[in-house]
Amino acid sequence: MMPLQAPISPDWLALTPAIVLGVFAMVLFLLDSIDPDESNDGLLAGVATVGTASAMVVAGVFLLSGVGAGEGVSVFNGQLVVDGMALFFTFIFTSVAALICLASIEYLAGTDDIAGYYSLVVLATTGMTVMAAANSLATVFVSLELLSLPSYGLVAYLKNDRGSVEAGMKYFLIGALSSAVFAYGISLVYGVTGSLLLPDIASALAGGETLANLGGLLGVGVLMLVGGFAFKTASVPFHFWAPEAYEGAPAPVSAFLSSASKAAGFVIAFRVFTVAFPIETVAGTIDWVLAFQILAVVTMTLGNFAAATQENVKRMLAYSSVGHAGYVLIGLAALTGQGSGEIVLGAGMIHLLVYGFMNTGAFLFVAMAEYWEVGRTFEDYNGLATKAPVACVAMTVFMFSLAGLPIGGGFLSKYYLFAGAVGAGVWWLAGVAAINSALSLFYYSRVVKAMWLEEPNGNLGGIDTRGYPTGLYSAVMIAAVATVLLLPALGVFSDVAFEAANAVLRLGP
Amino acid sequence: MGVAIPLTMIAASALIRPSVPEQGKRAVYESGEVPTGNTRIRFNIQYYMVALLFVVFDIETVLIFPWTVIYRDAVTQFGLARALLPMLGFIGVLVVGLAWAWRNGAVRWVRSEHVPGQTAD
Amino acid sequence: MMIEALIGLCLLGAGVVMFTPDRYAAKVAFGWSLLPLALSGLMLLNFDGTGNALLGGTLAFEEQFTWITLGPYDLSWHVGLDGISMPLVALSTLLTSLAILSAWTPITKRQNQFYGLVLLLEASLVGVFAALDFFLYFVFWEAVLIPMYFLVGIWGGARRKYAAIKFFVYTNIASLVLFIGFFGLVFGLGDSISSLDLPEIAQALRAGELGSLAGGLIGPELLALSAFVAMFIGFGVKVPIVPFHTWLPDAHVEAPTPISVLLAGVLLKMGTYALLRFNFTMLPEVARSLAVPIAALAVISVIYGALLALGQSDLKRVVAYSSVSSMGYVILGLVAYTSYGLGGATFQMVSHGLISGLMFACVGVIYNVTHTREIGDMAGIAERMPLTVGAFVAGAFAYAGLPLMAGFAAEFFIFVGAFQSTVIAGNGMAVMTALAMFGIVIVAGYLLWAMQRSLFGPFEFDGDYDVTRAARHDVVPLVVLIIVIIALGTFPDDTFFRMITDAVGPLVDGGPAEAAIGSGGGSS
Repeated sequence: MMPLQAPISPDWLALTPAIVLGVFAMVLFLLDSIDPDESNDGLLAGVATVGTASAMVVAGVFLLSGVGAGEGVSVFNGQLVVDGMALFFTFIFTSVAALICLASIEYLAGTDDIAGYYSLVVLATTGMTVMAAANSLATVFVSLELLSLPSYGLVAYLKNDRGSVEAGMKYFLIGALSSAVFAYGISLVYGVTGSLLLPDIASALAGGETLANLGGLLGVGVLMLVGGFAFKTASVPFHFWAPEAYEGAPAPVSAFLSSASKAAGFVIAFRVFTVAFPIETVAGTIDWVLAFQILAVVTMTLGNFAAATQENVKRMLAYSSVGHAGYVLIGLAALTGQGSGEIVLGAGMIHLLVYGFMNTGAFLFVAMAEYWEVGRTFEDYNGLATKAPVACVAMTVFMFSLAGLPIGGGFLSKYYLFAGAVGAGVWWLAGVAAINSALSLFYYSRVVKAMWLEEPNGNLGGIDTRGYPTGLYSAVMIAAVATVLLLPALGVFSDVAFEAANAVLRLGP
Repeated sequence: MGVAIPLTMIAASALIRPSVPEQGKRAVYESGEVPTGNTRIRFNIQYYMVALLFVVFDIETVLIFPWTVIYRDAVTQFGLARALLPMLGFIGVLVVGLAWAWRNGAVRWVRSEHVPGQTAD
Repeated sequence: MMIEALIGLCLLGAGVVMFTPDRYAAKVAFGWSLLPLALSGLMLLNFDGTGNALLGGTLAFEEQFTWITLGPYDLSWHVGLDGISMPLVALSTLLTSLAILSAWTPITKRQNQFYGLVLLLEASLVGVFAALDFFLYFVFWEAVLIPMYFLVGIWGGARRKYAAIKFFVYTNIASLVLFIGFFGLVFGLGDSISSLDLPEIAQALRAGELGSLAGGLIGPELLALSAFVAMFIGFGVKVPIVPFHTWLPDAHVEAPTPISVLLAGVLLKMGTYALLRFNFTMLPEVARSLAVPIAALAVISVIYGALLALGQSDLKRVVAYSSVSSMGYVILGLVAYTSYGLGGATFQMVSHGLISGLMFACVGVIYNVTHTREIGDMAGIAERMPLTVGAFVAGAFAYAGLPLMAGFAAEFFIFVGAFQSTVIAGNGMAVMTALAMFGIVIVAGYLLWAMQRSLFGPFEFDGDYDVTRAARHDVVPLVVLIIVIIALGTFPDDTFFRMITDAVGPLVDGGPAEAAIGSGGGSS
């Protein structure tokens, strides 16, 4: 990689991560076309992993070398913009996708059409990458669909498994509904402002006349957009699909959806609301900050309380993922204009980064337990540490980091979100988040308790007979090491995150 | 009020209309033909495959058509590379997809041997 | 680099011990724990800090470099020791080594994990006392919970899982409360600070830089008050102060004895240390204005803890509740806000750490042999275990404040400081102090009665176990602790007290010698 100057030339090279992913998806198709009946699992997984990992490296290099600094590189007449936020999220998506590809080798052994699986994963990642850069409601919608359609297929991937098919069906139906709502919202916003480009929407609203005349209509449109984001991020009120889909889907896919896909929902939410509807302009008519405050409180409370009552580990993780969506929503809910917005927005971004590793790792551990045929409930995990201590250390790291104990990067990002909420003057939001966080410790520690404190039930034979799945195991370990390292080394990412947040916030008015 | 009017009409007609249950009313309507079997049959999955491939070409046509119309002007204005390459890339992606689908047997018409009569033709 | 080396040694030791086979784990862990002990001893000898860490004093072994920049605030790795934290670091390393030694007998399963976690705990404890940046401090503060959870949960008594989760969730909620309270202060300070460095924040707060929050909705006074209360609750759970003490008996009783030693000896001190560092250093005016309720809480802790101890028949519970009572004195000393009071409170942290460690260790040794802790189940143990019983008696006397023992010195300083104090109008503090003295009388009396009942008299024991002399490695910690307690009690000035008063002096405007008279007004 040549030393890169800030405005990269030609412009479209800034989209390299997305292009790399697209090319690798095509390569996967071609490889499979050569000989579709002879499935060469290792090769396909390798190609997919290399593809996503190289996109990750490119995104990382771009990020640290300042390609997206400031306002970023605007491509295709402003339809896409590659700025710090886009690259930051691209890094999250691709790193999660790389882990997923690595982890799926053993998990999918025995199913046919492996190439389809990997190309869907890579295509979905491409969609996310474009989403991160989308700067107009049209590209937002197209990339959203590019992400959604492969996701439906992935959830239903185990086509002989009733749970998987049912989950895919539910996910698809709710997804189609929310897509429709989202598209309707876009049309209303376009009708009011006469533009789909986010900055143009902001400038159309800037005068205040449009707001005064058509504020109600715009309000309905914005509310519908919120619905679309809520679906992707698994927030209330469109969270119903999450536990079903995560539970039924193959565990690596659950990891993918709950980490990367959720982050993708957040990146467009962050961008659309801060750029197109800056709160300073629209506060009088459409107080979306208030809407997100309500959503954040309801989402985190519902997610955490539901998680506390689960018996199935995967379902618990699914609800906890809803709860974490609530925490990250603070990133929007605390943009009250007081304090510094970059703290909360930046902290939200960092939390998604750390969450990408710790949550993916947790789901992959569940995948490993499924591979060993241990079972799905907390009781089935009893005494797992006696057989697989190192893997259990990794899971403990994930659980405690998710709960916000200082064993991984989740600690810093979560507490910084809370701190940001206090700084923005929404004490009560930080208070509710704190109560939720304490509650979450209770159910996360149930997993830890089962693994370390309880005696085995005699269902752990699979570990001996099936052995350690190399790819899956190494993915779990990589995720664990990354989670732990992100505590001392968060500084590498926090600077770019806060810079990116600052740049996006400044674009508005 | 707007809801009340149709509701009243429906209720009124439900109350005063004659009720004549008859076989023909419950039968499946198949364009005037005598129906064979019921509506709850499963179509062969291969119909969907072909339909999906059709959608691909449908979209392709929609996008290629305006492109050919302005092609000459575009070449003179932006040069050959900028006018031709993106479309070649687009078609290339479609070709890869088509080739993959072809190789995986999406267009191979196989009769299901397990359930005779399921292929409804 | 001394502190880094200390923490690094503990972490490295934890790693090594985790991978040591069970057979050798105990000995390797003990041997390794002598390294940080020796290092902290060396640090104590070379200690050259003066003044208070937060108020511009010279720190010993200070290191500082920026760790992460989070928006407008720098988080840094900032560690250093002053006269308050140095004794506590020494206490942590000493008690860890002794706890490891006293674990040889009772801990029989998964030994490598046990000792590894203990060393991990030691690293976090040292970190808590040495950290001078809020986030760093908070990292260590929370990191203490993780090994504790496993130590209680895996190796504890019958209700260990319940006790572990109760301890875990209880203290975690407290941490969140104090976190929000503290960040209220940080944002209230606005632009006058650029990092979360504790000295910087403390000095800004004492200079009266606190602004308002939420667009003026919460003014500086209200902000300071609510932050003080939030932090007081957060730290008070750890201490524990009476309404928040309910986790303590469960955790103590269910924890294996070596862990009780550490829990009572060091973990409780985290709470009082934090109260001193945060509440009483950063917000002195609020502390003075709330003197009456705080002193009342302290007295209630003393009396109520003592009364609860009276109601127990389990020796370990007796000692556990007596800890609640003792920590009440620390609060009383803190709120007195005199040089002697604050110094005595800090000295009491150390001395109570040693004394309660000793008593728990004794209960543990007796339990190892008899497998019971019920007072009524045994009598005349002294015949069979003279050394252990001797140590227990010594501990009880130290607790009761026998002169020439550490407890006497500490309580004496606290009472002197409290009598001098003018934070409550009239003779308020004197009355409070007199009330608190009852606490000692109650607990000391009860302990003596319990000892008479179970330790002396003709030997009588119903269990199937052979009651014999305790193993040598069980008795060594007791002897070491008694020696240290007597040393501290005989030479308080030369050991820690001078160091401590030097560090708490700047808190009470006047120097160490001048106490209550010049202390009004704060520094605003």
